[in-house]
Amino acid sequence: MDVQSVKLYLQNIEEYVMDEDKIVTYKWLSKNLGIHVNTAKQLLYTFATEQKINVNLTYLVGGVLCDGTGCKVQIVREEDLEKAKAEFKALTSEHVYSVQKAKILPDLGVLYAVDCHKRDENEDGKRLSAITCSHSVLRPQEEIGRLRLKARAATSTRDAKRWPTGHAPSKKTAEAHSNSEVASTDGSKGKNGTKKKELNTGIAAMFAAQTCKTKQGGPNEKPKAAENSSDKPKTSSGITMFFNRQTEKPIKPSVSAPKDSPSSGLSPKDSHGNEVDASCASEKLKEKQEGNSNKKGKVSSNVKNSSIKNTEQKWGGGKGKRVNTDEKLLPAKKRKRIVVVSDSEDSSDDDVFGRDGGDAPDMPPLPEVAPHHESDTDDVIPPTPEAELKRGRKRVRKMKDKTYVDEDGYILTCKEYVFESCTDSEVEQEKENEKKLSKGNCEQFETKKSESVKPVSKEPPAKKKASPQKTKQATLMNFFKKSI
Amino acid sequence: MLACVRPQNITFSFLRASDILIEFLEVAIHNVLYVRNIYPTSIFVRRKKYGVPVQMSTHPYLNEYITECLKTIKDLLTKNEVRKVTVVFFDEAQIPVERFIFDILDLNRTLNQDDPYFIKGEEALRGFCLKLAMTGSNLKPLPSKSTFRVQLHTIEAVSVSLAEEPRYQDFPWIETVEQETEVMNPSIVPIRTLDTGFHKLQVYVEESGEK
Repeated sequence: MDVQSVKLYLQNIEEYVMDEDKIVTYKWLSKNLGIHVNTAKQLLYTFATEQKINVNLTYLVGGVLCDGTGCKVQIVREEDLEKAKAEFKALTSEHVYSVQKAKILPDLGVLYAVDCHKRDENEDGKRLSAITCSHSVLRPQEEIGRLRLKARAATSTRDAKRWPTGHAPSKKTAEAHSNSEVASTDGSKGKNGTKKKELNTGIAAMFAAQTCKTKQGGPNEKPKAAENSSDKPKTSSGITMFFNRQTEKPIKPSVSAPKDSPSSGLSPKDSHGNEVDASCASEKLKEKQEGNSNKKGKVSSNVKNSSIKNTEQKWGGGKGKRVNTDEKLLPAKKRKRIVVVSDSEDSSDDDVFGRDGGDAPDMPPLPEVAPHHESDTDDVIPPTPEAELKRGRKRVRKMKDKTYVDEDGYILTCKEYVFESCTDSEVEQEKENEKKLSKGNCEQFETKKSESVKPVSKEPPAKKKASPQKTKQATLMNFFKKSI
Repeated sequence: MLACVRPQNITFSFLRASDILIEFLEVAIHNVLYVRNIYPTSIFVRRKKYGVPVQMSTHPYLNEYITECLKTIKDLLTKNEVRKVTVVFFDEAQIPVERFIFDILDLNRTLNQDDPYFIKGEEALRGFCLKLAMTGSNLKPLPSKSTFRVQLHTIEAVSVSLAEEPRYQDFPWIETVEQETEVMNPSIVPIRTLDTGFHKLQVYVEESGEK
C-alpha cells in the first residue's frame, strides 16, 4: 500500500473518530474503506500510536488459557490488556479492535452495535478477502441476462416437447375442416398422413383444440368429418386425458390422426382407432358434432364411423374412462386433470345438449344413429366396471362416464365414481377392445396401447387389444412413433 | 418489558407510532441512567433491543417509576399533547445540573409507506443507543448524591387534566417550577436527531456550566 493511500486512510480515521465521535472498529473500517481487515487493523494501530492520548483503544486477544480450560477470545480495554494477556498460555492473536475518543467505555456491548450490519445482505464480504481466484469474476449484467434467457428457452423447449402448444391448434383445425370435407375412406390414409404430420403439433393442438373447440363447432354435420373433429376433441380431450392417464395415448394418436391407429391399417386399426377417436371425441362435446362428422369420415367403416359418432355423442363426457386410466397413471396429476377434464366435459356436455337441441335438424344422422348404438354402448359399458371389480387387486376410484338413454330418448352421460382395480382395467380394456372390434364399437377408449403400441403402426389392433394401461411415457412415444 | 417492535400491518395508526416511541423512551431512559452512573452498575443487566445490547435496570422501584411515567406519557402521546420529555438530574441542592431532552418535533399519524417493516426506524433507534453510550465520555460526571426526575413539557390543559383525572391519582404529576427546570449556564451537547417514518425526535443534553 502506497504512502498516499495510507495517509488518506489515516485522515479518514481521524475524521471518523475525532470529528464524528464514532467508535471505529477494524471491521467497520474495512467495510467502509474497502480494504482488507488486516490492513484496517494496522491502520488503526498506526492512528492510535499517532494520537495516543486523545483516543482510547480496545483490543482483541485470543489464545489458549493458562489454566488449561480451553481457548478464549476476548475484547478488553486498553487498561485491562496486560491483565488479559497474562491469562493466556499461548497468545494466538492480539490486535486493535476499535478506536474511539471516549475515555471510558462503560459497556463494551456498544461495540457490537457498531459492527451490526443488519441490512448488508447484498454486501459481498468475500470481496475483501486475501484469497483470490483470477477466474472467479463477477459476470456482467448483460451476460446474466443472456444466460437467463437461455435457461428460460431451454425449459420452455423442454416443456414444449411434452406438451406442444400454440401453433398446433390452427393446423389441427384446418386439417379437421379439410378432413371433414374429404370423404371418409380416402381421407383416412391421407388424413392419417396429415394427422401424422400433426402429430408433434397434435398435442399442442390438443391444447389449442380445447380452446378452439367451441370455435370449431361449426362443420360438425358430416359423420365423416366426425372423425376429424373427433380427433380434434379427442386430441384436446386426449391431451387432457393424456395427462391424466397414459391410456389416453392411443386415443390421442388416433385422434390427431397421428401415429397409432390412423396411420396403420384401415380396417382393424381404423376401427380401433375409431374407437379411440370416438372416445377422444366423446370427451369434448363441444367438438363432438364437428368431430363426429369429421372423424367419422376418416374412419374406414361407416358403421364404425357411425358408431364412433354414436359413442362420441353418447359419451359427451366420455372422458370418464380416460380419466380413470389417467388417474391410475398419474394420481397426483389426476386431480388437476380431472378438474380440467371435467370442466371441458361439463362444458362439452352443455354444448352437446345445446347443440343437440339446436342442431337437431342439421344433423339428422347423428341422432338417428345414436339410439341404435345406445344399447350397444350401454351393453358394453357396464361390463367393464364389473369385470374390473372382480379381481379387485388394486382398487382405484375412477370417474367413469355412463352413457344411457333416458325416457325422452336423449343420450345422457353421467360421471360416476367407480371402484375398479388398476391392473384389471388394462385387461378389461383389452377385452373391451376386442369387443369393440367385434361389435364395431369404439367405446373402449382407454388406451391400452402402451408399450405394445410402441412398435407402432404395424399391429395396431393387437396393440390395442393388449395395450395395458400405459404410462404416459409409452403413450407419448406411441404418439410420436405413429406419426410419420 | 423490552419487547421487539414489529409492525404487522401497513396501515399504522397513530396509536402504534406512539407505542414505538414509548418503547424507545424506555430504553433511552434506562440507558441514560446507566451511562450517567447514577446508580451502581450492578443493577443493570444487558438486554437486547433493536438488535443491539442495551442496559436495563432490574431494580423494581426504579422500573416501576419509569413505567408509570411512561404510561402517562403514552396517553398524552396518543393525543399529541407532549412536547418534550426530559430526564433531569439534580445535585444535592436540588438544582438541575443536567438535562437529557427528548424533543418530540413531530408525531405523524400515518406510517410511512416506505418503511412498513420499521427497518429504517430500528436502525435510527439503534444509532441513537450507540451515540448515547458515547456521550457519557463527553459529559462531565455527575456530582455524587445526585437524583433524577422525569419531566414532561406539555400544554396547560393537559396539566390540569393530569391533576384531576382519577386514573392519574395513583401516580400524581406535579407541576414543576422554573427553578427545577432550567439549567444554569447550559451548554448543549447534541446527541442525535431521529427521523423515522412517523416521528421526529431530537435528543440533546443541556449541561450546566457549573457542575
